[in-house]
Amino acid sequence: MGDEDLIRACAAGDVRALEQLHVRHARAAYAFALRITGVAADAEDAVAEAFYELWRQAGRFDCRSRARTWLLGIVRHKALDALRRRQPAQPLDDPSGDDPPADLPDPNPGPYEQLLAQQQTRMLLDCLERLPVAQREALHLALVEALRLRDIAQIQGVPENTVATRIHHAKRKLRDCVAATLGLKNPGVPSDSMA
Amino acid sequence: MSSTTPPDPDDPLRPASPQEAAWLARSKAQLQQAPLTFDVAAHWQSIAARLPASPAAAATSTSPLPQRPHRLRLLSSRWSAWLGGWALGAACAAGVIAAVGLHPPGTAPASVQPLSAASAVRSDQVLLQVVFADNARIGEIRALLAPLSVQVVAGPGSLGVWRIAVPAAQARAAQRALAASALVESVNPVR
Repeated sequence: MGDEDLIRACAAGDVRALEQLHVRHARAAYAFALRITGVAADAEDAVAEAFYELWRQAGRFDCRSRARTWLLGIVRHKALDALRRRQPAQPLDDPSGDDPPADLPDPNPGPYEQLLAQQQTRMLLDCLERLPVAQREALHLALVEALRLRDIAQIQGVPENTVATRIHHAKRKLRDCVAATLGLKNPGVPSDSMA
Repeated sequence: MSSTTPPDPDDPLRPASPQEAAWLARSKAQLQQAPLTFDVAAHWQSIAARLPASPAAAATSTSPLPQRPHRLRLLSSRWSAWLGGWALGAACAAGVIAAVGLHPPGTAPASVQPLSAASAVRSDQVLLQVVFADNARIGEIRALLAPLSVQVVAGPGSLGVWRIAVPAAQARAAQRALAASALVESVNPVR
């Protein structure tokens, strides 16, 4: 049974269909929620809330997007709510993060070979956590979920150009952060602030 | 010679070079392989416990008591009520005498069984103390507890307190699921 059929079954009150959706998507939803909140308990709660919301709203799914995209959008809302409760004063986006990227070649085209050789998962996760939330979300959805630009734009509720810009900044910041962690020389022109 | 493959306009990553593409692929693999502490089964239980009780479970516990036949109501005249009252009083007195005689004060009568059998909590279990709302029906409570793999250890007590044992690995999820239910007034671990 496809995801869309399972959602229709949920709308008809079939709990087993919801459980099937949970088996298929909960883990990915949790990884995404954890990327946003940074706290395991908040991520678990956000995903539980999202599936409960899916159950309540299943009748409103219009199949214009994939079920996973729809679910991740709900997860995002719940995770951001949890993040705002925990960090009410923290801005969720880098104010400069939505500026269109300058149409210039990357002044620091490397050191990708060294990153490939030395990058550890823990330092990658630590650097990812330092990105502004919106950039972190966009990069996760592009890199880990392998979603297309239009799907990410739908989840984040912004134009595709904004998503492209967020990912552009996120990649550069991530690369520079990992390079700095590894103590690699010649970082080149400093990238955007990590704040 | 550089690759002539045109960039995919819908690819959000848009690597600027083969080296960047390789680094992104490596980063993706590392993120996907990073350990995730997430118990899918326990998480599902916390969701299932919040879903409305099934119609079948609700029906078995909330069915109204059958109405007495009309002809039996005709016997509730004044004199038969007096006679019935006398008989009831005599029966109660006999019962008290029998209870005291068979079970001296200080001992629990064998015929009185608690709703749940008291049993020891295993070392791999956590004991939770739960107070359900006054209007919670047995069928609803049963449906709430069913997905949580709980063992009713004691209760309900005179103040409506239940004690349930849950597997330690699922204790947190169970406590959250119960706390989120409108049927539950309070749930706390017993230390």
